[in-house]
Amino acid sequence: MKKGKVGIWIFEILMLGIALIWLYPYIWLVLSSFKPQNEIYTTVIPSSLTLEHYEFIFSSAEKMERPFLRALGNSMFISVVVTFSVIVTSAFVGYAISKIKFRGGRFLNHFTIFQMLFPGFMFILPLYIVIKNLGMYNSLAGLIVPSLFGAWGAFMFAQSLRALPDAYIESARIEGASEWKIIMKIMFPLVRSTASIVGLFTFIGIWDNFLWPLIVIQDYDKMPLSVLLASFNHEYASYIGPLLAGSVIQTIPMVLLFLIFRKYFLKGISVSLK
Amino acid sequence: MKKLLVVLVILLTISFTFGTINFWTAPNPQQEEFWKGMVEEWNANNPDAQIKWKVIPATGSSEEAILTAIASGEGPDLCTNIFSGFAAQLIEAGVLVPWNDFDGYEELLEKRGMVEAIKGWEFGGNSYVIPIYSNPMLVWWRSDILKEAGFDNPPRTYSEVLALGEKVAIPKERYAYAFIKGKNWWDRWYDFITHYYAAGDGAPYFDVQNNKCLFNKVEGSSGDAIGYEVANFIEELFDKDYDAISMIDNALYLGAVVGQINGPWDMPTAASVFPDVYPEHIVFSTPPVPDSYPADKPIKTFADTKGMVLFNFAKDKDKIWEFVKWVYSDPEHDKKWLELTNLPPVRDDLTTNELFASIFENNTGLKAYAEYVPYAVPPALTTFTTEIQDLMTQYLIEPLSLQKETAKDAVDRTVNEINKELF
Amino acid sequence: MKFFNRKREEVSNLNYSLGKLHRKQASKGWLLISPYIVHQGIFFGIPLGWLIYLMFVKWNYLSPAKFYGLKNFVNLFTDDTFWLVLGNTFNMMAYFIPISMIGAILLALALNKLKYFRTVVALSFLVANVSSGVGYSIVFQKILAENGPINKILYNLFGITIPWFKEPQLAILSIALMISWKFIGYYGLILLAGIGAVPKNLYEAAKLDGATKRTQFFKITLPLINPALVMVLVMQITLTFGIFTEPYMITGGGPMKRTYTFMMFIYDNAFRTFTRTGPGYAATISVITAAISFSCIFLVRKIIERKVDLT
Repeated sequence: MKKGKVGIWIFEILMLGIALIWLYPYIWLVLSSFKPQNEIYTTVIPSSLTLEHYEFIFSSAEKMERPFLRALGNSMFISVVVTFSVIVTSAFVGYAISKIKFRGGRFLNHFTIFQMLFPGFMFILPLYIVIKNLGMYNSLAGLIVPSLFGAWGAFMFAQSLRALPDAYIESARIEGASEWKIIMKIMFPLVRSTASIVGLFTFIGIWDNFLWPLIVIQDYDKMPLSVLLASFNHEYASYIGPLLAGSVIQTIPMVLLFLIFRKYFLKGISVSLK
Repeated sequence: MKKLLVVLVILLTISFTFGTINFWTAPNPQQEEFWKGMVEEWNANNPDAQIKWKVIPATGSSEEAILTAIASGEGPDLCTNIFSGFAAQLIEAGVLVPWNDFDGYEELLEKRGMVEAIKGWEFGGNSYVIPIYSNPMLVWWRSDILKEAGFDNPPRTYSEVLALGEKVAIPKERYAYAFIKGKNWWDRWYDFITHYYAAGDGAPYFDVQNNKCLFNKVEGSSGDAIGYEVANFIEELFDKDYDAISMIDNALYLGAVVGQINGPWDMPTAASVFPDVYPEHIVFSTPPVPDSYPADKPIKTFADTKGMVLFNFAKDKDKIWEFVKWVYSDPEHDKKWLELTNLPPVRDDLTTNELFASIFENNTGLKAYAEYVPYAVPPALTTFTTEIQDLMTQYLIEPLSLQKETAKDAVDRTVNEINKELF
Repeated sequence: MKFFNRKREEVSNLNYSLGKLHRKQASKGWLLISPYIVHQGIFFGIPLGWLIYLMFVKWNYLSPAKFYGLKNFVNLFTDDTFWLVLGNTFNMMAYFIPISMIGAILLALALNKLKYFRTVVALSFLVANVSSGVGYSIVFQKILAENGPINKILYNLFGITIPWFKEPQLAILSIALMISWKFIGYYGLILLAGIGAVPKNLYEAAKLDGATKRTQFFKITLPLINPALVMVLVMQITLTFGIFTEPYMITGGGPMKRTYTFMMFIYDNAFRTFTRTGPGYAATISVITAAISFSCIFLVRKIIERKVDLT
């Protein structure tokens, strides 16, 4: 019995060690971004910590027409607008699909599933042509508008709304509540976790998107962080410190969001299994 | 809520475009500084011809960015950083305007002293590109490490480089000579073609008229084809572990390699990031040559040269011409350019004009580069530059650096693949 | 509030028939979904149309498109690069799928067994999944550099260094490892959910029959988490066909074009060499790539998928 207990602890510690190894790229990144330039590759524990790379990214790079602060703002703006919109619109569409009995709902139910079958890369090129023709090329709108609605979000909402008994809605309707009220006051609070899941994954997807803004955005002051960082990597590869500082800045919002909403992240994974 | 969104979307869709002339310049910090100042000055004095200046939004290559922009109908009116082969491609696509139709064109050539230089840039009797700068490529050596190894002068020949390797190379830690510049197609200008020009006294590597490779044909000083001479050198470097396939970032400055081909654009960066190495511990030389190369003969090198083009969708072409004339007719502007970017402007009085003398005095590196301008040979003027050099990467540089093929086989295969692709 | 009261009166009206309610429902439904339909019409329907159109034309964005018949397809199937990229993709799968699948299964089993550090370990693995594509490409490029920390450790321990991104097979493996690092946590959690759904009494019964842990795993766990396994497999395949950021940032498709992916192939033809090949060719590649990806998924499902009854 005792031996078994020791075994369990060895196993627990071992897994903790492996988890730490898994975090190594993050640890290296964060630590290196605070190291003096000439110590990044040479030392494990730096002789001193410095903020110079962060200062460089936010001041010098700014002067070099690589506006990191602006890009951070762009990324925030794009991700927040899209996330917000996807949550709201998906809730409405999901509600219509699952709770209103009409032909359009059934049709849309099949349609969202049909849409999700197509891999995203198929549409990059034709979508670019559409955006170009709409005059949204090289504008933040080109990054935002195509993502304002999402089939996946609608599908997720429809799934979880279906699980709620219709009685709630029926009684509310008889009470005379408007559809808007039913959705906002009754349905929405009950599927808050779905909203969090949809929001979290949408935010991460948009924040991390690289190929689409690479194609659509041309001006440095409209670029999201991912593309600006890549262009910085291309032109200033020898400025390793600032490059790593930029990577930290680009990674942190996603990690923070993940840690805050980790519960929903896990839920999202198990929901998607159904 | 929805209304708010709609308003947001509408606001976003309205693109704010001020200014009439779209002018793009190279994504390079020093050049950016130069153009920023120039454009500001011009805009202050010419309210009727405002320039909207922008750095070429290159995440990959400049060419890629310019092409994407043209495809989207959002291309520049005036653009710098155009190499000759790309200009040829743009002319082929019919999107450029020749400069020689403008009033005062000849005059500008005289004023800047580029009557001779412009000849190398003409296409079908027209001149579509105004050359801005021409850089010779030179080898940077760590003088401190050379001295330690008993070398007073940088190695001149392949044998000398290999001899250096024997003294200084430490497996996995220090290499003698970084031949390979990188994985991109343009890196072939700076490694294979640069060494090819050195070994072959500037002989052409590609027959532009017939779209055929020449580097396996033109004989070098040893009697073998120049391409084989250079490839043999690469093979030997890797065979003896004097060069590594994945050189670390900033290897030269960290002392992980002793010699490396660099352009003048590396000087400002080196000075700012590694002031304790540059300029004190760096000496410059031409690329190494085969042992059979005559000892008293000057060595040629590659000229990295870029120019400025005008696109035919530009609206105010005459105003743009005024701007170009203003920039290039005043030698003070070239002086400022030289100071900021360290890239030798294309003018025949570069080493003789008093105006530039003070700059060279204070900058030994720049002086070295300026002296080699006459020995620098520009790349082959082919519209297939990207294709050719991608294939060089794939079939020549990579197999040799991975020691997967012999020098001769790699050269022959590359020639075959290029000739097949261009058929 | 007033509005609300008026409505209430309306509802209490006895003449309010069920049919009317349904009709009203339907119109409300249409109202709710119409913005979505319009949006998808523009950003899904029209692009789909373009895609089909482009497959049969030659175009360079600048001059008018020319009808090209099936030549785009003929060109594609006789293009050496296409076959190279196809080979690269399967090569990538040969590393990525086993590595990340075995890693994910082991992780799921370990997490299932962990008592005290379960959350910490799970989060450590999952946080890799939210690393940004550009950021983590830069980090791995530096970590795996010739003089990077990993090679330093290897050199000190074994006296060797590994040219991670410079040798063709190694470069493919390196990218597969990077992506595995990012996704093992995610896949592991999916499998864990599958394991959690397996009824415990099955194991107890097996134990009574004297089955070893090994037999339990192969005879009970593995067959019963089949849906989760298939789902992970499908995700892995889809992911492999869509790889872009990592090779674009790190290898540029090399060495010897062996990390060149379908996405890069599409991107280059659409935007880099369009004066010669153009969007027509790129659209054809997109569609064929999607078709290949579908066939792979179809095949995997056909071979591996089993109906599982957990009750």
